[in-house]
Amino acid sequence: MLLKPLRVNASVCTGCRACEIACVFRRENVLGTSSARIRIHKKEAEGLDQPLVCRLCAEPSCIASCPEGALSRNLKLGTILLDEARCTSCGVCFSACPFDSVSGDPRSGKPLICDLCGGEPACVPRCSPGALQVEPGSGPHDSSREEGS
Amino acid sequence: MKGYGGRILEVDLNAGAIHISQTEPDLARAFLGGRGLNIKRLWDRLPAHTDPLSPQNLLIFGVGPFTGSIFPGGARFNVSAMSPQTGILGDSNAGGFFGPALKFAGYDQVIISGRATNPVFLMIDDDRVEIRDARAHWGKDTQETAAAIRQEIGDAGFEVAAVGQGAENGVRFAGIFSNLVRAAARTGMGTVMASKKLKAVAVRGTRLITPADPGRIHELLDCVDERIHHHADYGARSRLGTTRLIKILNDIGGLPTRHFQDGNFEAADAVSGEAIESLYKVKSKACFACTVHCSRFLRVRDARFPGLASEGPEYEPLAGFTARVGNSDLALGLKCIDLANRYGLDAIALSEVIAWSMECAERGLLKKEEADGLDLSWGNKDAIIALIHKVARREGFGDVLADGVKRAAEKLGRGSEALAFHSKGLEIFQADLRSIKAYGLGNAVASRGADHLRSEPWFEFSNDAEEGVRRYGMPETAFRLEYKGKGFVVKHFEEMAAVSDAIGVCKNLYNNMEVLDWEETADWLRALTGFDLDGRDVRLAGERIVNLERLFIAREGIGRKDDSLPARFLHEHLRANGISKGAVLELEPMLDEYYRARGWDVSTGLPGQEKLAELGLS
Repeated sequence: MLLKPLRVNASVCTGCRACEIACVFRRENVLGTSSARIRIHKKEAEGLDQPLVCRLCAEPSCIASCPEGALSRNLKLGTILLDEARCTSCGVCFSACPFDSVSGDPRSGKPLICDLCGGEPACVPRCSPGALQVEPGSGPHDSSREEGS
Repeated sequence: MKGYGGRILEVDLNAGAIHISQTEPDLARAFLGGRGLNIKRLWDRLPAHTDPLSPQNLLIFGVGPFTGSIFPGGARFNVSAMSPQTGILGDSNAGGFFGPALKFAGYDQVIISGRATNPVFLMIDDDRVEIRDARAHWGKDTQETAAAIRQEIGDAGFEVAAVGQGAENGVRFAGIFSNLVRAAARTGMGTVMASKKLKAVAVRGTRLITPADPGRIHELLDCVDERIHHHADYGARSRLGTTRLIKILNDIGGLPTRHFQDGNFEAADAVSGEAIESLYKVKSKACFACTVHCSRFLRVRDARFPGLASEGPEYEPLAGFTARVGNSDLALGLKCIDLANRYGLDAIALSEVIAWSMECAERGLLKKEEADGLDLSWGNKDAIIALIHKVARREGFGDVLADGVKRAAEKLGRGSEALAFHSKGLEIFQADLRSIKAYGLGNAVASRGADHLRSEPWFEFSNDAEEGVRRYGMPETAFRLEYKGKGFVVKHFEEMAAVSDAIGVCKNLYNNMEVLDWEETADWLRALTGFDLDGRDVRLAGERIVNLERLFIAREGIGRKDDSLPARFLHEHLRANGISKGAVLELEPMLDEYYRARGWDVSTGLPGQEKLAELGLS
């Protein structure tokens, strides 16, 4: 089944970043935030907290931008796949993403892109205000439907 | 070292030298981290009677194994030094995001000594540590400083803990602030930091901490989530945070109205957490990885205060700038809190010096001309705002108040000392100690001076006699107006508070909601650190911290004679509606019981060799 991107409601995000550490802990069994595939962009003085996470674009700019062809779509799930052997850590995909949802791993320099943990994202149950929710369904998602961003 | 940052960063500002060493596993096991490891370091390294504002004082930032651990509320850092406000242990704890960032940079402690020639800030970017010029930032408020330093570094991902103008000007109760409002505000730790010409610490951490047993953490996290979300307080805490206490304390007659002259406040509803929620709340906010999200982002729509928007507040500053100073204007109260946060001042001490001035004026002890011509009538908006500015700038009468209420009263004299509401030089918090007697005892014996966060013995609100018998062998312990058994209650909660501050967890969760007991804490510690600990070891670590802090302040001359409270709480009958009416605090028998519970000498209030040996402190 093709996955839909996380349903994001920034207007209730508390900015706690539990999603970031949950992401890292699920994937790597270590505690930290720097290799998270979801990030909270904050404007502290304005009280703005924006979760940044892959929106599974219909025509992903990240894939198109990669000079090495290291990014592709997982045809079964619809998520973005990285071929680590091909990736040269050039960082072009970071700025190609129109939603600022691709960041670089501080150690390897390779892109960090949410793959929805294969369908059961670790971040969602740790988001107590419900700013992140799983939207079941199939087919690449129209990113204009996001709330509150 | 599993579950810890693993390193100690030492910065000598005299020499501009930086040294990094490994965290000692035996010390971490015995003192856990944060407040525990900090007092151990102060005890070992700081000579008795060190001048708090001298370069010889040490300023120590510490985090614990739960800090940045995914545990909800594991967001805390602890700052310790000799206090310029009290002359004894200085120690303060805050949440937000600074603590986790320090942990992720790979440090359990940052120990700062010496004094820079010119203003500097410390930049910690994982292994890269620099002492950088801060002359351009000196004079800025706490929030401007954080923004300017992030801009200078060119990375908004740095967490910045800064001092404001209050600390720069030598106000003795200035704190260290991060994330707009996250305040390590008590005991003048900002004042110490500014005396070292250190304007801020900016930290970014990208390391990943390896826990001993990740699988067990996943299991334990499910349990604690369940505990939190099913707790009776969860709904109100997640909506209102501690501001819910305005109504609760008004209902029991425990508000500090007009400087503790009345336990009820006629305008309580108008300045309550519920009022803030309905008028100004934009959304809930939270510290790192916390699912309780007790903070709130506020936008105050009031033509007098254009652009007033911030996070919070907590109950303490809210009650301080409303009931305590007799102010019924909520927006004004929030403006005062914003000023305190920006100047970087402890709102408890600040509201006390203002309320003390007002009561002194009311009783004819302070003449108008001595207070720069201000009309110090209760709730006078212009006077309250003016005094905040004057204190922060040490201007006029503000220069007197900036030394804290104890010194201000000593300067004024005329009996005003009896109205200076502090213990050991630290101002009393925002609840009447006659209405909540375990809190009264806790304030009298707290190792940093009058304070509720050294114990936070919520249990006396429970009214659960059966549980009182089960826990402490006495039904009275469950009732706030009873004094019997409270020595045992305070001992227990002091040890919980010490562990909470040492491991790096918020006391709202650890003490008030009791989301973990000793055995469960040990289970988490084993999973995080791999230390072979059981519940008894954890409780003993708490007791060890409390006892070592007692030794530290005893070295400065503190003993039973100093475990005292102002006469109002001991001898004047509480004016309040309902069952709190007429209450006084029976401190002496409570102290006797507390020292016995602690195994301390009842006449001196100090631990003996046997107790110290039991705790490995001899």
